[in-house]
Amino acid sequence: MQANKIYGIIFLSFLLTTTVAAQDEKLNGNIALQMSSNDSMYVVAATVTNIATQQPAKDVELTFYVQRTFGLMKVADGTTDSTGIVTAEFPSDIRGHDSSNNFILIAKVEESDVMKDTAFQVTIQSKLPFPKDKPLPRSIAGAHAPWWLIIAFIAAVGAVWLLFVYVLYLVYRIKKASMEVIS
Amino acid sequence: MEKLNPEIRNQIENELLGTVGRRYRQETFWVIFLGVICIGGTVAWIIQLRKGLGVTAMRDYVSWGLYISLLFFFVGVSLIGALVSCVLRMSGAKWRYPLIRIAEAVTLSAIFFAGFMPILDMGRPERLYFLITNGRIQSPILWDVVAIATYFIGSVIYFYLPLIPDLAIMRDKLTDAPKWRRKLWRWLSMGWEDNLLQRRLLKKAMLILCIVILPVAISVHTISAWLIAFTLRPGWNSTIMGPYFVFGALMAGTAIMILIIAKLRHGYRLEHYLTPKHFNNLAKILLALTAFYLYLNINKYGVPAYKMAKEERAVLEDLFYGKHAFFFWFTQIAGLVIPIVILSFKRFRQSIKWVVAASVMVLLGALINRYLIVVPNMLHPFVPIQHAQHGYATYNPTLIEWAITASSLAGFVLLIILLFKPFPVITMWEVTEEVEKRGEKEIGVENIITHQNIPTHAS
Repeated sequence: MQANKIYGIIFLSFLLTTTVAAQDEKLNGNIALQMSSNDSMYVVAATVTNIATQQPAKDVELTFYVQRTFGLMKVADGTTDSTGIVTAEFPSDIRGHDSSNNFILIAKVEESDVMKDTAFQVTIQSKLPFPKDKPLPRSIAGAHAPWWLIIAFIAAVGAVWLLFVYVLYLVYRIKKASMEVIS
Repeated sequence: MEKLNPEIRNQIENELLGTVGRRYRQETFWVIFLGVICIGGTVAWIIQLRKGLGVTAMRDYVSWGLYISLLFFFVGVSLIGALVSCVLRMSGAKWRYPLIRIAEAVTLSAIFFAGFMPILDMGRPERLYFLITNGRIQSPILWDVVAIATYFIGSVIYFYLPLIPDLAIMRDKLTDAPKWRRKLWRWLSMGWEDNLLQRRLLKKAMLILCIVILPVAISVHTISAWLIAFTLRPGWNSTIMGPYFVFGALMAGTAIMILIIAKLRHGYRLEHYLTPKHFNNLAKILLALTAFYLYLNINKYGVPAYKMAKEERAVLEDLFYGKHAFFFWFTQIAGLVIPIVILSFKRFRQSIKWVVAASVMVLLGALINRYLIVVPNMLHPFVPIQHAQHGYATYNPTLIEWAITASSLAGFVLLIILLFKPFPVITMWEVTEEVEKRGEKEIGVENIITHQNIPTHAS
């Protein structure tokens, strides 16, 4: 094997080793959430600690999401201070997503330089009343079609199929006519 | 016109019955060739069923690819039956008689495969059941399924009705055919004795079906157009879609009709029955439809291009000088302008070769146009997906899709060939009846009375 190839392999191995080592150097963190609120906003205080040392982790970026039906809605973000705490506010007019009128707040550490990805979630009672299940009126866009559409559809399709049946009845009469004496 | 000499009538029937059950070498080759393509497509479909629609290139942007493009093509071609059987009947064109069964066979085969395409596109066939049980009556998808099923049943009945007297002729004449065939013909001919009451009932049934099938045929294609026109997308958000689809369909149907009668005329030696008059008349219809379709295209693309609204700009630029420009200009120039020029000259219209050449161009243009109606518009939505992966915002059909598409086209042609194996290509009783009433010239047939020694296949 040529010398430059060997050096290349050694260099690649070195790169891989240092990358893995860098990944290993990231902290395992823990997030604790404390909720409060004022008239129009929720206030969330997240405390991030290093699991190994139980010391506050500073300069960790956190993003706060609310769980919605088809994904996560970002509501706030921030970076921890020297005490490992980040405080954020988000609007209190968030609806619950289940019949108990709860929604889920998720705090996430994502692609941080100092900490491995981690997340913590809390369930919060929404301040807005849960919408009552009121049946929507019949409409094109609604769950139930308007009567005029149902009647028009059935009438049009039904008329065509009735005529098909009548044509088949005529075919039956053709068969019957073979046995009749034509005067 | 006097009644035909029974001997000549007998010769005509023998000649037309000669194609029934007969094996032609060239035809056998085509059956095997198309059958192999169908098997390949079936294997591809099994792979798609096992692995899911992920094996296709359809993603979040282009969720209707080749399959739905082909659905629009098949639904379009199926309109030819309504054109020949109803429009020409109502316009009193007597030359239609030798073409009726061919047009109905094309319709039957096309609408069968049109019904098959959405099932392929759904990925899982059982979803069709859920579409029926849980379908929303407000959705054009449900209307389309119902319309296609209705048109298919109507086409089966329309194919069968003019067949009844011919089945009786086969029952009485082809006594050396296999027993099961004779039994089938006897059962299907409904005891036809050619008496007055039977004739009156048959003509009444055909007239009713003729009146019913025309609006059904137009509704099938209009609903297919509404599938896209009811969707808020650039290029689709247009009121012209219904007539645009219907006239495009009639044009494609006429082109494929010309190609099929050209092949049958030569392959089954039906030169006396499918004459230059039929090609000339169909060429005139094709000319009128092609010219009108070009006019519709000018409206469909020209009007938004003049305004160049922000939302329409991307899709129009894509078509005029972007990724799809070659195909777009091919459909406009080779698929419309050149055929119009060719068919405008009487000399070319009277040449079967030129009419066939023009039809090939029209058909190719129509096939590509269906793709252009579907795919470029889906690639340029009003609200693009944020941070979509590259593969999600482009569409390059996979081998699986090409194989299934090719096999559907092959199956369409194969089914037409197979429909002419147990039944005569030409409606014998109507042609002889009309020749008796009006003479050969008006029906468009040549030398079937005067030609005493017709070289029959049966002899």
